[in-house]
Amino acid sequence: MQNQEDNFDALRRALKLKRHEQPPPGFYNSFSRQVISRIRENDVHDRRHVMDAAAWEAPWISRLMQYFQTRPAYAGVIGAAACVLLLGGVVYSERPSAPVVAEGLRLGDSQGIAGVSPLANSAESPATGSSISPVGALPEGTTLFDKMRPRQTVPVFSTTNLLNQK
Amino acid sequence: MTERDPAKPAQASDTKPDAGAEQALVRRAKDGDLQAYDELVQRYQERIYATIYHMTSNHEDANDLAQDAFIKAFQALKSFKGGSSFYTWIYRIAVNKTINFLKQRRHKGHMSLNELDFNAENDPDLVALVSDKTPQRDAGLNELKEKLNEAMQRLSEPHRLVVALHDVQGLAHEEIAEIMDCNIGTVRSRLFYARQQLQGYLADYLK
Repeated sequence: MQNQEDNFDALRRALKLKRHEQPPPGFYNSFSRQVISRIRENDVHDRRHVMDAAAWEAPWISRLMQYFQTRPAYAGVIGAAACVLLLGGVVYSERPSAPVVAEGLRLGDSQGIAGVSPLANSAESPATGSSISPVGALPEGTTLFDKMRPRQTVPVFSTTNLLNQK
Repeated sequence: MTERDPAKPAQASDTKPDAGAEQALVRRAKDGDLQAYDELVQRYQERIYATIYHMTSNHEDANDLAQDAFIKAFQALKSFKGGSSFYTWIYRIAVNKTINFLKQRRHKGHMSLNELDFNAENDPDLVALVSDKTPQRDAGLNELKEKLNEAMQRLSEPHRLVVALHDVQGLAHEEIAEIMDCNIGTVRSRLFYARQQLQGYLADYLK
């Protein structure tokens, strides 16, 4: 093996010349910075790719985005309107009673609501129980949503009710 | 940042004393810490660049491929289990990228030779080689370098890689075997064959 190394001695010394082949001065000072910035760019590109894919799936989204990008005032007005609607809905649902609906329902307590059969007050249909009784029969002071809840919990045509009836 | 002396070959063992620090950097980089990865890049950029350059003999290609290798390594870092050192792993990525690139570029035979650095003219071995041993006494360092690169490009990629890693960069047979994923006997036989080939191509300049 040593003999083989000696045979290639001149070649190995010549190959040492290649160690002097260096990039321009200062090349390594900026190399890692370039790598890191390309990694960051790729990351941004990947995110953009996701947005592009979404735009491809639903083109109206991109059209809408473009429209609002050129008209920021419209975007602001629509955003504000959405907020007002949302707040209005929350406030309305939290009110103790809704006056217009409650009035009608109170009437239904004793006389029935116009257009609604007073079947609920009739003693002829006990099997239906509270499932069809008007919501106005519920205690006062509860909101519309509170009045609706009991209707959902009571089974309307359960087999047990029918058996009991028989 | 200080640059390494080009005449001094790079050794994988240079990094062994702070292997723990390297593992910590790899862990941080895996979690997406780009500052940690920046440090890893700075550790190995010269060796990775040099290996690719000696394979391609082209500065621009070496720059692009070295950057691509580091970017790919970052993207694949989650899959790095630590079975080998990060150094070996990044070397493998760079070598595979370079070999694929060379396969695509083979038909072009494109070569760009960069200037020798100033120290080469003062290297006594090289001065003696050029002025005393070559038949054409007026052949300068640049001509010899050009012929060397031409001869290197005539070798197959695995043979060129073994010469670049061992005779130019000074890596041990064991390290090369790990990088090339082959046994040491294969490395030795490839090295011997590659040297024979080069000796033949450069006969007029080495006698």
